Amino acid sequence: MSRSFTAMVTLIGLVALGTCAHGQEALTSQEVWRNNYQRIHAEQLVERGILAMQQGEFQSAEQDFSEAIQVVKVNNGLHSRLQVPALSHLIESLFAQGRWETADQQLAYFEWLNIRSYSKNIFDYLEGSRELSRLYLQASAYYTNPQSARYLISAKNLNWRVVRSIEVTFGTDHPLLTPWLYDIVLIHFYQASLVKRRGMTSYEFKSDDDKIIAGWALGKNESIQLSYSIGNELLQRIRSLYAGRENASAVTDALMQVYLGDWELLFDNTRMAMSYYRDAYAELNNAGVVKSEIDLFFSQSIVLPAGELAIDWQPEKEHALDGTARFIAWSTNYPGAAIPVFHNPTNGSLTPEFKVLASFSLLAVNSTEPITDTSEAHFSARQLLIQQAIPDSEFVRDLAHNAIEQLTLRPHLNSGALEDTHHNIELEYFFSPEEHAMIISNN
Amino acid sequence: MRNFKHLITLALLGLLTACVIPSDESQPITGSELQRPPTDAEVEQYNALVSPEERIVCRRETPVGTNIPKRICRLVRDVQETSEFHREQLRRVLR
Repeated sequence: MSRSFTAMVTLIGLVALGTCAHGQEALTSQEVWRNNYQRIHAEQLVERGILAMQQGEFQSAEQDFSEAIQVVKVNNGLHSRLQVPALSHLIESLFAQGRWETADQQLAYFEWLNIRSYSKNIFDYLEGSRELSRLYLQASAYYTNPQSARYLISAKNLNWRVVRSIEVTFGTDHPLLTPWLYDIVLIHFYQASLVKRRGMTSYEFKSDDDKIIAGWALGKNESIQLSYSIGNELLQRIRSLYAGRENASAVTDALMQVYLGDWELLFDNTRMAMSYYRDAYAELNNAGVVKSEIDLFFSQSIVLPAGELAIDWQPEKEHALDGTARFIAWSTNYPGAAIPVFHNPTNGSLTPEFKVLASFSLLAVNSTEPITDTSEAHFSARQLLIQQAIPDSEFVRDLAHNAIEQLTLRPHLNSGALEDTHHNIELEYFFSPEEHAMIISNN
Repeated sequence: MRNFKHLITLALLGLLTACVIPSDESQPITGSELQRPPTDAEVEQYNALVSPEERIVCRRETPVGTNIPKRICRLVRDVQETSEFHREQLRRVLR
């Protein structure tokens, strides 16, 4: 009895100990579980992922960003907008790995998440759309992307949907529309550039969908003409939007005429472009702007199209302090296009190991004769000299030469008349990432 | 001769004034204004908002019997159906 009692007590004791140990273990694992999903942990994961991206460890970065999204979902709910930064980075890591199908799934998820915010807060929707549009454009710029055109059209269609949502919420003449309309104009420039390069056609109804529609495809010239027509229509609309406002200003209208002139010039309508520039000059003059300021504005070397719509009078804004213009090439998919403003790296992150310094003239006409026939004038680089190349090789100089010759610059005006720049334009040209790769493989 | 010049001037003035249509901007938009063909940008915006089959495509075509091109807009679905119909007809003929 005593022995069996002792055995029973021992057994109970052992069971109790076991339960206790099990409970202790469970508690520890729960603590670990809790730690894993702490809110602060998401930020740490994103930071670690960004570092991995910078070191080219894209798979590891992808894992960090995926975990960060899970942490946000656990803490803030499945549909929380707080997962957007991690989601953006995740999509970028997929682009870098060339995993386009998975990237498409994540982009579709981002779209779905963004549409949910439309009914709750339109400004959240606009912010999300801006980021989504940036991602689509980034995807379209990858030279290795077999469907770069589809992403470009996805960005354009997204911008159009945003325009519609602003029209429905705020009205068809709200100033919020202008940056979105101008972005569509820029996308049409990229589209025309792509069509010219590859001879691709009929984007607007087949490229953002898996289905290929046979027949009735637009020809190359028709497609370019359509891009010109839509860009022109949208710039006219932006001009009317500003003109219709209570505090409409003649200076803003003149600047809009400059943008219209830029658009004409990009599509080789030189006479029309010059007409807009001269009208803009006269309008600024009539508005009481000092002549020296107008001449300063028109003496800047600006590669077209301008990345942003600037409607306030800041004649010195674009003027580089040392007089040297700067151009950061975006992608070999879009020759002659500068990196979009929201991708623009800060000065610190520019890659000075792949650049050239060039000087050139803007007009190909004989400067001793008066410039009368503007249709014969060219507004791209002439008498181009590569002053410095980094790294210096024949290949780099040729590459830069060809790339710079494709740029279109706003003409210089003095007292409203065309001015030959006499080899005085200096341009610092930074190569695109694909060009970096070409230079490395060639050296 | 002078009378003849006056007559021609009068006739031209008459023609010009006959072309003038009185307009009143305060009046609401009439049906004919609403029926104007959509601009390229309007078509593109519409296409961005609908499913791919519902999209429309516009292009300039020169109809038979005239040299004046006309802008014609069609539903992509109709274009596809017409293309399929013609392909089928061709297959029948070639059989």
